[in-house]
Amino acid sequence: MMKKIKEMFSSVQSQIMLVMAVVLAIVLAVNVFVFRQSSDMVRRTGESFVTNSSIMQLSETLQNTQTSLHGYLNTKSSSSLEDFYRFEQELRERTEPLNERNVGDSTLMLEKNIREMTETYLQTAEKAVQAKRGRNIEEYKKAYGEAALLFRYINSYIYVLNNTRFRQNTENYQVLLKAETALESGGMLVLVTIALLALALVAFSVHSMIRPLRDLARSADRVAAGDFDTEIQKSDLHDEIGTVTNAFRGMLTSIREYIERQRTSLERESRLKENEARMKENELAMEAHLKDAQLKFLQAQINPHFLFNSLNAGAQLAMMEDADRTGDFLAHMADFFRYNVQKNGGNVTLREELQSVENYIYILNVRFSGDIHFRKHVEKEIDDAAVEMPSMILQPLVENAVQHGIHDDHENGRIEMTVEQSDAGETESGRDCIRVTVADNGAGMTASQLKEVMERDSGGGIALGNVRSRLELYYGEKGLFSIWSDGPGCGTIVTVLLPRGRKEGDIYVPASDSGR
Amino acid sequence: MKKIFLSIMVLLVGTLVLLTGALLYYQNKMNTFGSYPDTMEEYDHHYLFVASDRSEMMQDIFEAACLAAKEGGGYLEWCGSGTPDSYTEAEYIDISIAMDADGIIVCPDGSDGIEEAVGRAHDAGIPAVTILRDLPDSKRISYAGVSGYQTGEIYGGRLISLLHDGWNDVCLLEDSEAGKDEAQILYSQIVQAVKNGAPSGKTLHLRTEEVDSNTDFDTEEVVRNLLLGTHIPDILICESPVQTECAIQTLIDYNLVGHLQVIGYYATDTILRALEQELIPVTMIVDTVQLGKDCTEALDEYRELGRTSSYYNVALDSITPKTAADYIAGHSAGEKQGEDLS
Repeated sequence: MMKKIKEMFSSVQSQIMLVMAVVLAIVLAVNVFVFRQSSDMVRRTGESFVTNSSIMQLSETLQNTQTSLHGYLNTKSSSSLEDFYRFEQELRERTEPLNERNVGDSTLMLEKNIREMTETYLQTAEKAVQAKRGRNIEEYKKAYGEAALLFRYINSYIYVLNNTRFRQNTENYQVLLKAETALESGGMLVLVTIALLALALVAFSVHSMIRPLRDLARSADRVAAGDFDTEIQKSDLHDEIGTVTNAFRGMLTSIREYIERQRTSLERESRLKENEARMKENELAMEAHLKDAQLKFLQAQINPHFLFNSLNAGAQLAMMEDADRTGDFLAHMADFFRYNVQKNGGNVTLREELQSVENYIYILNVRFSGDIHFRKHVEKEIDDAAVEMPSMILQPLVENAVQHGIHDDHENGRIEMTVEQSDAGETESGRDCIRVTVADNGAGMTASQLKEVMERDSGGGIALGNVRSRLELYYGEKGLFSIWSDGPGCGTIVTVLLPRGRKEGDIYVPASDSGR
Repeated sequence: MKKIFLSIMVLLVGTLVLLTGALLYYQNKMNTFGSYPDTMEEYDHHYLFVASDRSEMMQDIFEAACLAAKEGGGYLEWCGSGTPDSYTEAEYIDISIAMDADGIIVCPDGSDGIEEAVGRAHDAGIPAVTILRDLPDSKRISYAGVSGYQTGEIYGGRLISLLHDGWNDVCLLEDSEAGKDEAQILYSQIVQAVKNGAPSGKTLHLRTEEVDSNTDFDTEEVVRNLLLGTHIPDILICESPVQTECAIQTLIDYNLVGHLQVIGYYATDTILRALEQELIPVTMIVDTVQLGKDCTEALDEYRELGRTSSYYNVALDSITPKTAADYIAGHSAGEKQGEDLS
């Protein structure tokens, strides 16, 4: 039942009609009430003196009865007798409504007295008539005398009753007039109050009905302006506005989901493309650097294979001729070039790199008559054979120290290479690493030179920039290469950090993941 | 918003409830307005009180009789009250007969035909009781009042205390309404009482002055003429409240206080004030409450048993300036009690 009623008033139209009907019913009820009371009041006011009118009629009838009695006794005419009986009947009827009980109200007791006296009067009058008919002169005269006295008494009492009633009716009339005025004012007040309340009720009802629609319009405006994050509360209304609101909410949710899906898809595609580009870029850079290094090396050397094979042949020849020093020199030369040819572009161990540096220094010392003062220090705890690293890293550093650092003063120049365990927080990634330091006390570098080394990807010869770029590409992080000089003549310190791990294809695997 | 809406709804409903309440209250008021309540007290019988004397004392007797009648289930009405025409008591009794009353209490005024009227009432089956003044030769069923003997003795007793040495001129204002026999008894009883009780050397000369209380304004003229005449009495004995009040006013107007002593009758406000101011030495009072009860009781008893005592004696007392305050206090309490009962 309640559900049916709820459904019946689920539309906005029904709700507005219901509110209007309720308001109209209230105002109508109040109007009817005030109108009815006013009518009732007018009626009562009009009836105020009805009792006086009745009393006057009673008095008149009494007078007519007395007159007809006198007339009959005087003339004995039939018409007078008829009149007497007619008025007698009328008098009885008029006294019928009067009070006949003994009650504690003087006015009602007046009515009772009049009623009783009238009855006595009528009996006496009847006695006179009967005596007249029986020609009993003395009797009807006596009875008439008594009737006349009673007539006088009754009139006196009717006069008192009339006065009393008039006074009461006047008081009632005054009260009714006041009540009528009060009712008029009260009615107006109630009407105005009810009208104002009804108006407020209509205003708030319509406002509450329209409010969701207004909210929806505002939301639609925001959505139209591109704000799809606008929150629309689910409507509990069962009317058209509720339906539209919920539909709009659903539509907005769908749009948001669609946009989110599109955005996710685009982001994924973008990320994939970016990864691919970066990988390709890495590969290309690595390849370019290697090719650059190789090109530079090949330009500087003629056919290294032929060369180190020839050097091997020379070394064997020197051995056979007992030229041991020449043999050693040629053997070191052969090892040096073999290392360059075989290990170039691949993974090497730290030990192999250090050996390559040793070979290089040996060759230089033979060349410069032992003027190159190189000292190497490797921490005992470091297993240099287990440390993998890109090839051609340390030798270029030493070569750079020889050529640019101590080139002009081999005699006093010193080159020191230190290999030691680094602190964990030294690299950006925080991985354990080996720190290799190549320091010389040679020409040193200006700040601009240092800046150029750190910013350029490659330089002349097997440049330091090339070493830095390869290290970053190999290990996939920056900050592994640093160079420092206190200025010209203050020497140069180059530090290389070698994170622990190994290279598997194109991907460098940190030490912790490689099973170390 | 919801709160405002709820507030409006509450106001609206409240106004409607108030309006409905006002409507019901108003309709109820209007329905009962000008009409008599259904539960109006109803009485078994209807007595009529016939007295041409409208003095304060008579009013007190009527009120006391009303209360007594009410207790016995009767309604007592002062016959002819409010009527424009003036009737004799005999006519009032005839009116009572025409009204088919259940009983009549009449205070005879000495007018003609009253005894016959009482007889007609008796013949019509309506018992009549006389009060204060008796109609012993009528068909009244009972009389309630003070006997002439008792009145004479009490007056005599009070008179003795007021007499001065030597010859005392005392004037008794005789009500012409009172029967001759009764007046004679009163006169002789006063004389006898003084003779018996007065000490030697105090001589009483009692004379009477007749006052016609039936004639308007006559009492005041008689009293004033008496007190302003050549023979001013030493002591004036009044037999009605009107006589007493006239005498007091004359004492005041002509500065006769001290020259003349007035024995008053009944205790109206004026008389009590005069007592308190010691303008008069004493006033006689009738127990109106007892009188009212007695006359009603006589009617009730007659209606019930067909007979009743033919004489109800009512006590006569006096108030002096010393006892006036006590009387006023007691009277006020009695009046309040009477109001509560009514």
